[in-house]
Amino acid sequence: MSDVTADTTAAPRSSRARIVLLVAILVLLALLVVLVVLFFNLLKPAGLPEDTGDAAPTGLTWIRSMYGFGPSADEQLLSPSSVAIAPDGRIYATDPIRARIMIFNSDGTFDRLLHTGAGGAGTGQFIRPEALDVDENGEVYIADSWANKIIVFDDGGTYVREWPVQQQARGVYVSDGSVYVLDVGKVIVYDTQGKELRSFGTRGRAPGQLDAYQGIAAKDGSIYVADSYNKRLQSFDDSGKLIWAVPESAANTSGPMAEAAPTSDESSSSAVPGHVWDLPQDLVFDGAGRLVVVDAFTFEMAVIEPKNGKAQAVFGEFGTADGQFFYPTSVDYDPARDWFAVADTQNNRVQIVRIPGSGGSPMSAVWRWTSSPYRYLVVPGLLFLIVLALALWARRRVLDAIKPDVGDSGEGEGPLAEES
Amino acid sequence: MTDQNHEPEESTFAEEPESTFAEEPADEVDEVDAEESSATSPPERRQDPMVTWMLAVILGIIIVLLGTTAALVLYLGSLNRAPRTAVERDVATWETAIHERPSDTNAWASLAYAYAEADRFDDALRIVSEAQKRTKESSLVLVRADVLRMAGRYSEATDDYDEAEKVITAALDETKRRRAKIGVEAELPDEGLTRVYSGRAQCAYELGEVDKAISDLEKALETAPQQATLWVTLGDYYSETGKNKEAVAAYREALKYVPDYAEALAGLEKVEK
Repeated sequence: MSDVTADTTAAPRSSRARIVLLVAILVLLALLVVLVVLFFNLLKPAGLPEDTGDAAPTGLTWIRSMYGFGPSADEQLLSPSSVAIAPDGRIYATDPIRARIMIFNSDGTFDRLLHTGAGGAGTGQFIRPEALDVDENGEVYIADSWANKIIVFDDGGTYVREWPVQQQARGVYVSDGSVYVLDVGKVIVYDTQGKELRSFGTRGRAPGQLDAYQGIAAKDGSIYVADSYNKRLQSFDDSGKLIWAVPESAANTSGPMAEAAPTSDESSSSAVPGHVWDLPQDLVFDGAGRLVVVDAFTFEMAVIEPKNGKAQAVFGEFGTADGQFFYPTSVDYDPARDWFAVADTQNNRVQIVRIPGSGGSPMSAVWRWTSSPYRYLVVPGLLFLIVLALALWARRRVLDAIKPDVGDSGEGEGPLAEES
Repeated sequence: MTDQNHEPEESTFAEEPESTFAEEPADEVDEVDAEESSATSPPERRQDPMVTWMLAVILGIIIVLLGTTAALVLYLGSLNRAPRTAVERDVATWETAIHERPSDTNAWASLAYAYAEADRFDDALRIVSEAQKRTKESSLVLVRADVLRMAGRYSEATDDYDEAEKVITAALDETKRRRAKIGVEAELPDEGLTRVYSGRAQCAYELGEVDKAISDLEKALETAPQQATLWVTLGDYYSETGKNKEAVAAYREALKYVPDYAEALAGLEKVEK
């Protein structure tokens, strides 16, 4: 009987406590939800293309844009001419008018500036970083088109070496210990110390001649050049012998014979009928072995078959919104994250974009996510899961321990068992 | 008096020696009378661990809250104010501009539009009234009208468009009068009027007044007949009210200026079906 009394007095107090605590738990959970939503909104940039309705409808996915490291104009890029991606995913962008290079992390945050004071043409300085490339050790090779040299810095920003080019340093590409430089009308191949190994090419319009700017790449013993002013792509073997030029007949770009619009569509294929080049500026190999070329005047990224130079697909359109291009002049590819960095020159920014079929590894999706600003949401997420798991485990233990009280009269402690 | 059993931090049954129910059956009656060491009373022992568990859960959620706040603070600390999208860049550019050139009306107007693009409508309206105070430029009412329209406040926007129409028309008349005095006759296109009429048309449409929208669009096209997008919108409105002949005419006008205009072609197809 006294147990019953104990029951009625103790039970309501405990169940009241439970209700109060339940309410407290719900309030705290609501607070947590509010905090996470606030956090998410802070992480989200204003004016995302899908929100403003400007999402590019052309199969290209915009990841992010990088404008600079601060809100004012001199903290931002001005007509960036070239981009390169380092092995660790950092993005190097030239700011040629300010004689400096901006380096960004793969998540879009600013890393640092690479510059030599106000710039100069003396040893250890650069004045007009027109083009650049980063090798597998993180060393940066810069083509200085006013000082006409290649200048090299290590990945910490320390000057390493430099060497002059014959006429004008326009483009540079580094791979497997060879430095491919685009000079006026010619390709010069150096070793990484600056010793000239071989060169080929003369300036002109005929197939095999060059009038290129910065677009050069090499793979499997072949050299590929975006022959910009001849409105074509060319492919050479290592000794400089022409493999293909597409289109073969270069359009006249100036003088009384200049055509109003390029008419040759030898670069077209059944996939892209009627494709013509206007100003192909830069090119890079993607993870699927395709050649991806940016054309500044058609505002597009074209996918090219390296064996024959024919267009397989085109992406991109003109515009100033994120995901659109305005005179894109350079492109590079990050194989770990399976995305492209494009120097969107007239829009004064670098864009990270993806196009389908670029063949990244399965790990690239993971990598891309770790470069996302939203990755900070992992912290509350993981904590919550841990607490949830612990709570469920503890609850199970608590319930298991209570059970012997209720039904098990074997040990003779239950009140009903005792009553008799 | 019930302290022992309601100290959640310690009340795991293992820690209360008196609650080893297996050992003291004889003591139960006394303890129950006292109502204190009710730890041995089975009903309370069932609830006790539950309360404990709930308190532990609360502690866990507080830890998660603190962790989230820490991550938030860490993130804000690493944030630089560099723009990440075109809209953010516009906001940054014009915010700097109004500090450097506070009397430049265009900078204020551009900042208001940039805020509106970023969905920061309250900021946009604040900037417009700030600009109106500083520059006394009466045509800023058109900017406010546009911002209100972008914010979805259509009837307020319509009122502002009406006022903008008066202001701009008065200014145009004044200019015409002055030019006539020196013998210059000129038709003055003003893209401000075009914006007034096309903006007011959109508001009228959203408020369900399609006929008013059509008449405003026609006024807009009188001031700017080459704006193909307005012709297409006019065609859409006509086809909605069943005036198919007028719709076809409007779409055809659009195609005169932009022969491959996809929306015009699609509209024509729909109407001619």
